Amino acid sequence: MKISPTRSVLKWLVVVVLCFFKPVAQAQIQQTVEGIITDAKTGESLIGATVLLKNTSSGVITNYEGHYSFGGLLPESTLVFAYIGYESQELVVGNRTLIDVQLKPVSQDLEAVVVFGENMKDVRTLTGSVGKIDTKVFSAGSPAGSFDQLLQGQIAGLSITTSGEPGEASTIRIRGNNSLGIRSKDDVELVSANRANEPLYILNGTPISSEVFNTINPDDIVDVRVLKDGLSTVEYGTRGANGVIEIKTKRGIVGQTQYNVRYQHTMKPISGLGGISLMQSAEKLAMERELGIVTGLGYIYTPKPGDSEEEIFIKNKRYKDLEGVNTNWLKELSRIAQVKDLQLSISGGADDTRYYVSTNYYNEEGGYNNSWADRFTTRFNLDHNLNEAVAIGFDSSVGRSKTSKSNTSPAGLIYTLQPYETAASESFIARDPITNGSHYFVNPFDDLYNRYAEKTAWRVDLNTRLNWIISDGFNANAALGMTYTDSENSNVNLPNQVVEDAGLQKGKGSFAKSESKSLSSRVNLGLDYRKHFNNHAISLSGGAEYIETQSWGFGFNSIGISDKVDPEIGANPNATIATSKFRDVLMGLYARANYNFKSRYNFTGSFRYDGSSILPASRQFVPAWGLGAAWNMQREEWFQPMAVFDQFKIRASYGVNYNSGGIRQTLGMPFYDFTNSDTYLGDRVINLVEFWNPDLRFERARQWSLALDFGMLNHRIYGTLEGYIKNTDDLLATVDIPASNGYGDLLRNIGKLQNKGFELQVSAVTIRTDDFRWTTSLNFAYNINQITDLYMQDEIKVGSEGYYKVGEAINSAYVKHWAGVNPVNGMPLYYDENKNLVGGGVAPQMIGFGTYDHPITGGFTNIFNYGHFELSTLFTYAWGGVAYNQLKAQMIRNVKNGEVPYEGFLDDIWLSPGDVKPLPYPKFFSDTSVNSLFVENASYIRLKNIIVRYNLGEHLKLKGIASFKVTAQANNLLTITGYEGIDPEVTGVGQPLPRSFTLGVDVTF
Amino acid sequence: MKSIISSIKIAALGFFVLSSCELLDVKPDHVVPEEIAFNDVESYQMALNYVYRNLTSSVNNMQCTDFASDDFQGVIPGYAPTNYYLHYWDYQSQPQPYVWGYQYKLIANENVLINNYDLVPVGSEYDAQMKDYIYAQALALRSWSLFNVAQLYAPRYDGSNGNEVGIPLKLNLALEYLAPAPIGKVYQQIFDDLDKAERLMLATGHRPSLYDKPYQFNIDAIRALRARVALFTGNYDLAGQAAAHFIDVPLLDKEQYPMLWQDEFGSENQEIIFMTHDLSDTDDADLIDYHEIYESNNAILHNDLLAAFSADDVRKQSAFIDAKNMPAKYIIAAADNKGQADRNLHYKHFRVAEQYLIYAEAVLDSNPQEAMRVLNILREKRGAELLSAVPDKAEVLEERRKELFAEGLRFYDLKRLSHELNIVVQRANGAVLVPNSPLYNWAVPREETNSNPNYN
Repeated sequence: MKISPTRSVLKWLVVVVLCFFKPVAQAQIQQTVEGIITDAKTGESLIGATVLLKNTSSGVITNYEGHYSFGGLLPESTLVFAYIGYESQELVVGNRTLIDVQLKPVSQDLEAVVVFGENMKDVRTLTGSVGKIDTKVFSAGSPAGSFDQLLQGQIAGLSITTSGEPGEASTIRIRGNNSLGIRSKDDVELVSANRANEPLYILNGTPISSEVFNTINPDDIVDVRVLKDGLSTVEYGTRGANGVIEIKTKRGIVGQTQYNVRYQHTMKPISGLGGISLMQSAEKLAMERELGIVTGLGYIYTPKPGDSEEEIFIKNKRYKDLEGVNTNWLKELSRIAQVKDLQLSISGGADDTRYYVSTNYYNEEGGYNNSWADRFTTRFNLDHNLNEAVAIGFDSSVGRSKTSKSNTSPAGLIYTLQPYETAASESFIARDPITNGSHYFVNPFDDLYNRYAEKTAWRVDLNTRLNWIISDGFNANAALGMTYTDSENSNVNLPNQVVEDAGLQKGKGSFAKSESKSLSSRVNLGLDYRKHFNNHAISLSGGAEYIETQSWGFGFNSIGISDKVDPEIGANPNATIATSKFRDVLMGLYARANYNFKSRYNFTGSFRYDGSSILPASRQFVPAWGLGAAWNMQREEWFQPMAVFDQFKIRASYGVNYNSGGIRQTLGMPFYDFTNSDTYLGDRVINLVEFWNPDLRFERARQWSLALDFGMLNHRIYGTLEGYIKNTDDLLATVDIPASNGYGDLLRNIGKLQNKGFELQVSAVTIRTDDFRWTTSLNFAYNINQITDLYMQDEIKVGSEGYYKVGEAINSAYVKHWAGVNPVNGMPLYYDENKNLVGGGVAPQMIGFGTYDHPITGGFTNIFNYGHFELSTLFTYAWGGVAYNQLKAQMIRNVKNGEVPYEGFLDDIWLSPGDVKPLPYPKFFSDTSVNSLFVENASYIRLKNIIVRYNLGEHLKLKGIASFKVTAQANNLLTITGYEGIDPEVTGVGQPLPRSFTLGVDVTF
Repeated sequence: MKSIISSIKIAALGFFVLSSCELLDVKPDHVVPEEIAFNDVESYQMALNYVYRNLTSSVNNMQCTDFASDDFQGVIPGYAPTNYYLHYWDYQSQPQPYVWGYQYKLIANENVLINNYDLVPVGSEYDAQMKDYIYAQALALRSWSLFNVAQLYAPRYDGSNGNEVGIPLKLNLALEYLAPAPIGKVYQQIFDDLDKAERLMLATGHRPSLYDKPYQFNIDAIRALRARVALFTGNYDLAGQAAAHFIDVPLLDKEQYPMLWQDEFGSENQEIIFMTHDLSDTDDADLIDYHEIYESNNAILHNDLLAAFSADDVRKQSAFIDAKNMPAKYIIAAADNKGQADRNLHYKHFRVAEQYLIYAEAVLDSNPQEAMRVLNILREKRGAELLSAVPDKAEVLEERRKELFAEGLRFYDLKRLSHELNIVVQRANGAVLVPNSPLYNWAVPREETNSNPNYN
């Protein structure tokens, strides 16, 4: 166990807190009241609810966080809290400064609460599992290059793996993993075998790809809904099996126009290497001498027999001098990074029109000069009621993001740099690009700055919506949407004359550029009907959806660029060109029926019939369907004694969903590529596009869920406890096929997988007094999976370390079983299946060392409010999984090439017969196969962020300023883990998730 | 009334479903289905060009077999660990040699042509001839790939055995989980395909131009391959017959020996039967990575090999065999006007000199004088001392070792003759390769055994 708190940081925070923490004067005659208005049933905050001073027209409206602040009140003032579809409440202010209100819905479960044609009620939540992440996470959270980084720890069963690189999308999984994580060829990063397991992402109704996440302004998001169970995802048919994430952006709030300006500035100090410290000069020199590393200065400055006295003197002196040089290469190559985030928004509306306009500029620096991300977005939303029956909505947004990073990073370079070398050195012993294929330049700064990739992405979204109340209970709606994305990647490798002169291709330099465009259009036509008679209520809806996606690609690659021109235009005449063009169509018919009796019993049936052009005509259509029921037990007479519960609802659902992830037309039958730019003897060549699998089918998931939704203690506690079993058949995975086919792998339906688990999500107002509130929310998810069938096979191996076996978890570590070092000769020893000792070449790989997925994940949030002061903390945790300490493996393997291992390494290795040491003689450790020695427990708990907000508005007394908030926050402050690598959340060789400190102002007027 | 409404509804729904089917009928327009891809002979040829293009890289991995032979006495671990492991006959450590995957990749490319033969229409007599000419090349090339896989990964076949586990006989392009075929069956297929290819080749009137000829796997290459396969399977009659086609082809004089490698189209140079055109002058291929072999891996040639050459042997010149430099068989060496070796030579896969050696070995028992005569022609042309007495098999093998150095045949030779000649190969670390050792059969790599239930 090690704890790495930054004391100075904590101290700093305390100072900040104290500065703002002056008790708010309470004795004033005029007082300000603030609070949050929520739905009594669900605990969700209500946006745009009104707070009126009784019998006057003076009042305020809740903002996107459901928060209001009302000044100039007297203790005897009476406030009226109201929201459409809810019972109003009246409260006398008294001497309270904090008044939270829970409004009770007046309408029946299935009745619509329509605002600007949009039903504010999510009927899916009656019987299905829909997790919701509130605005606050996005508006008050850390400045983020991509909103998905903010989702971590918010919803039980939603797992997020971030890379820490500016602007890069995370890996998102809902309720467990279907995919096998396999390290890529260069053994650096853990890459997924396929993208078939990504959830579906929907932005305002239109499907988007995770690649454009960084063009979305997090502050525009009003909520993110996570559809987890089999029933609620039915409406997405062939795409819903891995869960759905719906992203909705802010609409205007009717009322006085609100202008908001927010600026946040973040600093990211140079991060260390987590649990690793690198070997220092004295030890490194001694090791080079000991191991006879011929290029190392420790060896070179070792006196040899026959040396003259003078030579010996000089060698000893040089050696001594070098021992005193200790360069911190990470520091040399890195920088302190700044992040700037500026946001402007206008929201408002009157009577039948509302609007929201925003624009955002975000600039993030990475840990070294070439690493940065830049984003500009703007959004305009408009809603209008044409008359009582017809409402139209329009929203548009444009986003541009630009990211840059080097093909290497300080974290990738430091191991090749000796502690006794300095930035002024001219030769670097472990960095010869002529003998080592992975280096391009001797000088690490050249390697860092001369090989880089830039990516520019544009996204344009246009959506329109029309709702028409045809007659009582009958509603028609139509939505049209279009998303255009354009992304451009360039990859530059500057030439290196020395390497080119040695005859190596990589010395010539290269420039590659690729552009891909995609246009996705969507039409959705629907009709719904609601009827309420006596104790019965029904709701029916149905419709059709048509989505067409077209994409185009163009790229070229040129080798040999001149350093006399801008490398990005320096393409040589022999550039090779690649083009592509795809079109696919999805069409679906859907229907949903709900029946409700006395608001006690709810039944839902949902059906969707989807056809997709990516499958052969005979198998194009698949039906997704689901059924659910819920029982509001607290409404039963006999439940009265348990009145401590405001809500006690049991719901169950079953759903059958499909997933088309990874399937392409060219995977279903043989197609030939006539665009190959290669030639032989000047003649064209044609080739098979890819190996095909004529039996491909959609993956099918059948999921049972059983849940208890509860509310307790007069709306103080809300929670959901849910268990599920998800059976996936025809599991899609890219697996190895016998190489005798001439191809190595293929997307196949390999078998059946079962994920099961339970989730607990609780949010509670732990303490609420007249001026203080402490809210806590906790989520906890437990998921395990097991392969239940592998059609006709017992096991499938993929690459060097992927392994599927019936009865085992999907992501089990599959490694050679390390037995130690042979004290006689210093060679590695392994166990075979029968616990006999064997050598490396014949040692079998086996499982039994844990899985790379954590069974337990979750988050824990606490928010404290006192007057105008707010403090919130977020902890995230994961438990029970292992990680492969790739860095350690690489360090040990490359010692013989002169690279730098960790401090104390020399003590850990075998050197002469009889030594009993944990690590072998480095020369015998070149096998790249995976080894249980490097499988480590990666459980962790992390203080993800601490945020302090203080509203200065009242102190400043500026006219027209509704609120003036200052914020201070710190991220990734503390991690508790037993993992001895860089960071339990970072796979491969990298840097820990960066610590960052932010200061911001947020002014509304 | 109700029934009318419902029938209208059903009709509307039916229409919707039908029209939606049409909407979903999206044909990919960036790629071509096989019926269209192979509806002319030109495209059929382009698929063959792809095979040849991929063959150009063979030198990089077929040559690795030499590291398992006695031509090298030391290789250090490091840059190219595959070579190091092969040197110690450790076939399981990662990374494994790529030969299996590479040869089966070629076979798949060849099966594209063989399986789609029937789709190609013939509009004219010329088309018909070209179609068969292309098809015959694909058949023969597949035989060659199968031969290479069988040589390395299956026990030796000498005509008297044949039921041992061989290799997957991959004759179709589509996905298969093949059990390895008996070794006799594999060789039967190889010989049958070569016969068929030769028949077709003779039946078509197509004769390539002088420039194209060495780049196409034509009638000469088919016969040269048959001679090679026959020799390695102990069928001396067949080997002798096939190689006899070439023993009247003149070899270059010893002064002109460098021309063999560097001037493929010199009018005197008739020694090349089949070669592939190197891509390094088109920016499409890396230079042969000689650092990998000679510097980073510190390969050290075996003393016996260097000592075997007589003093005036042109093949011993440092450009062609040298402990520290890449043989000039492969690269255009550094010269006065350029400081670096920066281009590969076109790789010669089949040469007339090999046919001389096959012929000599094939007739050695029946007509030793003839064997001596033919060997002496070769020795004279290479500047070596002439044989004064009839040679024995060991001498023929020695000559093969010298002539064919670094051409990927030495390990095959040891596999077939080490028993008869009692050759034991020993390594610095004590590892030993004895005659008939199971180490002569390389372990089938993980890329096959991972997913093929027939292996385990």
